Amino acid sequence: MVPDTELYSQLISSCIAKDARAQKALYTLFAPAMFKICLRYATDTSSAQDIFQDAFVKVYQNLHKVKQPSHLPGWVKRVFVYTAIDNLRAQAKFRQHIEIDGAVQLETSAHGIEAQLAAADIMELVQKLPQRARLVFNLYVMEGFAHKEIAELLSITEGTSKSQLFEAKKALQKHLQAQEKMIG
Amino acid sequence: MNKLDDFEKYLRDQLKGHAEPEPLMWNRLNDALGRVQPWYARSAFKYAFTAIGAMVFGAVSSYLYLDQQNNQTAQIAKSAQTQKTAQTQNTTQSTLDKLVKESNEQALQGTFANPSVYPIANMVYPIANTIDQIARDTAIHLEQAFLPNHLVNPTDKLALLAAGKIMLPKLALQNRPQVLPLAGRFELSLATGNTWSKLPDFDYHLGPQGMQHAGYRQQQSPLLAVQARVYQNWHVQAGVQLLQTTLEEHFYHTDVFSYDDEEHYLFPYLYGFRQVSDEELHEGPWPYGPNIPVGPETSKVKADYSSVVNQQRVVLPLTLSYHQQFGQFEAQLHAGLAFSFATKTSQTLVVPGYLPSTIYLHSQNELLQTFAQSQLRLSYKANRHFSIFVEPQLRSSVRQQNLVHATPYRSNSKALFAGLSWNF
Repeated sequence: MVPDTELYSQLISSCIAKDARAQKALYTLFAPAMFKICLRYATDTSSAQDIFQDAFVKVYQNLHKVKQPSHLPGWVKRVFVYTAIDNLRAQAKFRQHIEIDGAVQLETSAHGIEAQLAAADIMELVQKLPQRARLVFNLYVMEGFAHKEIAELLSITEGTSKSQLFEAKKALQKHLQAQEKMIG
Repeated sequence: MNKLDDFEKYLRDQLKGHAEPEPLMWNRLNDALGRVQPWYARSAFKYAFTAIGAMVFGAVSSYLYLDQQNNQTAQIAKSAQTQKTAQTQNTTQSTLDKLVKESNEQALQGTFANPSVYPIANMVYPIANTIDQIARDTAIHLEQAFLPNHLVNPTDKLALLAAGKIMLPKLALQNRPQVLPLAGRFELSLATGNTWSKLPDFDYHLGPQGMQHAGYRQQQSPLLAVQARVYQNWHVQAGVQLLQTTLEEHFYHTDVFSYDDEEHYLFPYLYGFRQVSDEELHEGPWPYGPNIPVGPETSKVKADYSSVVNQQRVVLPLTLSYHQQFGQFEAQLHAGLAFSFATKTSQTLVVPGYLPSTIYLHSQNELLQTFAQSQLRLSYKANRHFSIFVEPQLRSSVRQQNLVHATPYRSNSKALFAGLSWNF
């Protein structure tokens, strides 16, 4: 048994026993990474905090479902992503978008304007994306889901998923260009 | 895995990582989990407080009502008695006058001068006279003892005549001497002593080379207690005491986990993990080799360190006791519960070569501990009020305490107190 598994196993069993210290340890272990995920999916910090809290409650309530302790980090992350999606679904209906079958590959340089922007600015830009575009962007770019999986998850077509990704990237590029002009 | 273009890769690199949530988020989460409740709102306390509140209210209101009723009855009885006394005085006066007159007439007629006329009456009369005299004296004595001064007149004809008619109801209506209602019922004591407690040998998982040993000690303030007699030899005692516990653990070559890009390290200790950032430790706590990657975001190092958890608690013991007196000595056998509330908990992590780092823990789990408590108080009564005593005591936690790094355990302690008490 590798040390990680041992650690996770102890954490899981203690949290199931409602040991407050273990719950705090689990929180300490995952909170920073998970909060970042919440920030990416939410429109602002306040919404991110709501998602963060809902997801952690689900984590504590469903820890007994973790079959392999070594899978704990992946399982926690999935809970957060799905909670974020549910939360956004509940917040508002998605806007209707025109399906675009082929997404245009954007030619950009990693050393261009975006290099001058801090990660916090980019996070803010992502938060300003339309909900569905933000979801697709996060699932595709950050979580590594395929368009087919995203389509199933969000009950949309693959084409819609691609078009939303395109919309997201286009919007981000537009914002980045605007900021480049401002920076001069 | 998706094939990402440069722009997507760039965005992913910028967006991944960590963001520290606000510290209050943990409290908010606790609220959502429904665990945090003010101590006075917890069900056991809620019911206990309601019951005690109802009892106190009932007792106070009953006392006030009965006191008022007694005063009214006493007033009515007193005025009735005064009126009756006045009437009796008048009647007595006229009766006495009549008797004296008749006696004089009989004496004049020489009736008693001739023993042969009333032989039995002549024999009984001196005896009856003596009894009457004794009864008069007793009546005067009783009235002087129990009646207010303004009502007592030793030469009162009432007392002289109605000597044989003084009845208990009359005495019961008089004002009783003022005695403190609390007298003999309450006792206040102050005791100081030593406590001994021992932690079990915890079964830690500290890696192949890891070792740990722990020391535990308790320091306590004097115990202030008040005792009330509830029925015959049975008493209830409530007290208050401050307690400081120190759990000191030393770790040797123990695995420390680094779990994120921002170089936070988790130091295991009995109650959980202590997170320390690399910045706080400057160059890292690893004289024992480089980081060993364990997973995608976790690595481990070996470190020697110490963890000291200090906890301040308020202890409220509540016991029922049976008292048995042997001359000047008294034995009291107590049994009950002790409630221990944590007021402040801090943990200090000491890594050799670095400054100690202290944080305050907001642990909910140890907020309230309940102990079963028994003690035997042996006291010597120096006088009616003052006693000295010694008191061995045993405490055992009612439920097991959960720990992150070891199996649950019960904490037991033994103590020996010596103190002084004052009986009101």
